[in-house]
Amino acid sequence: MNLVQYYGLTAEQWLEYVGFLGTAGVALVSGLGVLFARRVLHAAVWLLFCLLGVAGLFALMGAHVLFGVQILVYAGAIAVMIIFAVLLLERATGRGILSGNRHLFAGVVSAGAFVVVMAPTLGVALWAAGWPSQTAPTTGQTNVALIGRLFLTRHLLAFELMSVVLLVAMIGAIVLARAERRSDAEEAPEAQGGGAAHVPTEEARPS
Amino acid sequence: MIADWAERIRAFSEGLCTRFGIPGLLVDVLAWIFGAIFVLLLITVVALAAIYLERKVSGYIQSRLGPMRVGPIGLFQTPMDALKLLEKEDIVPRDADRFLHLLGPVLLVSATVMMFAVIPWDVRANVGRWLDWEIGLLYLVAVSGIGMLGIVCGGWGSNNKWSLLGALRGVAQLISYEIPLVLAAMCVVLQAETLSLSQMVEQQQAGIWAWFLWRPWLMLPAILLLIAGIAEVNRTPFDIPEAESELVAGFHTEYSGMKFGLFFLAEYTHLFVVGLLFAVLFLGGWASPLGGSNLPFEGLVWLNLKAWIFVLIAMWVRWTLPRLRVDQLMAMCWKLLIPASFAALVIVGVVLMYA
Amino acid sequence: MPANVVIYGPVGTYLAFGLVMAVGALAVAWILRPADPYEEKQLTYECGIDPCGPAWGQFFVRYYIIALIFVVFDVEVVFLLPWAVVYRSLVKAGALGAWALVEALIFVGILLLGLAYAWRKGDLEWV
Repeated sequence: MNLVQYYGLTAEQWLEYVGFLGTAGVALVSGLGVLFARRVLHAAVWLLFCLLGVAGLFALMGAHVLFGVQILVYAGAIAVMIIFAVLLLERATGRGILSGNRHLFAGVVSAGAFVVVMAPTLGVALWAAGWPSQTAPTTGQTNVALIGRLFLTRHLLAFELMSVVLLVAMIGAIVLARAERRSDAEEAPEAQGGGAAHVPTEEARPS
Repeated sequence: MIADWAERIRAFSEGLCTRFGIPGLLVDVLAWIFGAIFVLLLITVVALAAIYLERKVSGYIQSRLGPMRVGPIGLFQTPMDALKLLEKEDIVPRDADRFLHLLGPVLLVSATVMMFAVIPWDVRANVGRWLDWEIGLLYLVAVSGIGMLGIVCGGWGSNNKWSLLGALRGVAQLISYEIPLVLAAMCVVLQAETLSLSQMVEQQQAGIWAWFLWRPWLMLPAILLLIAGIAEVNRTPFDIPEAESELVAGFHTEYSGMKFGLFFLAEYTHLFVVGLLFAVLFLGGWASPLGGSNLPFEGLVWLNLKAWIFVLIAMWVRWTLPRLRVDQLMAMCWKLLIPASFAALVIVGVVLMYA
Repeated sequence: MPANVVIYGPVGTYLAFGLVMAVGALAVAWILRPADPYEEKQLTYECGIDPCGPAWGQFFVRYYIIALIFVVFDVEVVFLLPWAVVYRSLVKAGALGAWALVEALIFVGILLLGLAYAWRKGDLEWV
């Protein structure tokens, strides 16, 4: 381990700062991209980058499993789901959805409220941990193994309840889909044949 | 005489650093860069070789010779095609979403390159070995999921009905087949007690009979992984996203020139990565089938040979079987592969209880 | 264990090189290639005649359902992975092993109920 300091920091700390600024920058800029994108689908793509940036922050904190899960579930699955939801809505409304800033006031108020709630919490946490906060001490075991043991011993009930939550989510999705499919079959039976066999009408042009 | 040439590369960069007074940590950085350059070179060679082989294999299967004109036995055909793609006009439809149209191939290629970060090339010859030690397999699967967003971006951004259909079908297929793929890999995790790819290889080091493929309870997962792996790289009989006889060219209908080339590159690279994954999980990765490994670069050669087994099987299947229809494709995944992979997981769990 | 930034260094490097590779190839092509766009060339390809309306706004609901079910199974995979890693060591340790298997069976079983429900109700039929 090289402990020579360059301008007051070791090379490792320099890298850490660069990595943090990079990932936080990606998360922040793409977060703004979500806010200011005109097309909702662009916003969804910016959200993907935002989620990846957050995954990078998890990585720098040593939350290896969370890093993997963030990419697998959020960037992989949730992002696809959101994009599909946008496409579904575009189909329902028959035109490209544009996002506006109609709810600017409400948005600013709720964001402010969030800051008011979070700032003291974060402040206390930082005060307790010291600044810059230390990452969790690493043991000989991988994070995955530690989590697995906790799932099977201390957090067993949560682990099992999780499957019930997932079951409810799945059945809910199916039931909602069935209602959607029924209304779909009533209005356009020929659109059932595997996607977009049907040619859109004039009002389908995106505005 | 362990073939730890990665250590040698690291020592070399360490020497460079002390010589020129570069900060110590940059040794690591140099090692990462060397690793990345190595992977990029490998990707280029592998993609060119795979495309050439694909045309040769398909030729022989169909009683043709395949490319023969450019260079001896047509060896220079694919490099020439790559050059041709480089100087082709980039035609973007007027109505397309230019941002997403460009983002699609870039996202796909970057995600494919990132997947290589945890591949164990040889004993300790993996710049990402710490990450591999923590979450290797999870990382590989997760990053491969980002690539399919590139397909959505490209397909939707083209504003073409064929592209959109191809992209939607493709993503539906990719997300569906990801589940049996991960569950089959999880059977190996149960066996090896780790997510680390290099530790999995270390447990199969003793020779060909130590490979996980020969454990009777891991044969079903191996078959499932083979099928789901072929589906995961969009190849016939699962090439619904680009089904050329029904969707023109699927999600890359509106792509030309180098953007199309990037899609092509990503497809063959992804095929190779799945081959590497299959080799690591079931065929002993870099371990020599004879047991023991003493020559430098030996592990690298073995791993590549084993990955090519999967690639060649995928090609053989592609030119032998007809394409599944989209409903058959989904039914096969949700009604056959997913229940089967859960069954495999339970079987492996029960067997390991008494093994 | 090295510092986290060292653990994830390769990921960042590979990402950077992947981007450089993709953008670099496009940049080289940009220098070499001709550019001669005109109205007909830039039309969306449909089948030879002029395209009829945009592609956007066409979507089959079933894709959304598949994505939703996929999210559920993905989360399930995430919860099962830690279990898979520790399972054998629990078995070797003794009595806890049988528990670990039963717990996972319950977990998977509850979810398979959902799959069975979807199957039974015909929601896995595509069309």
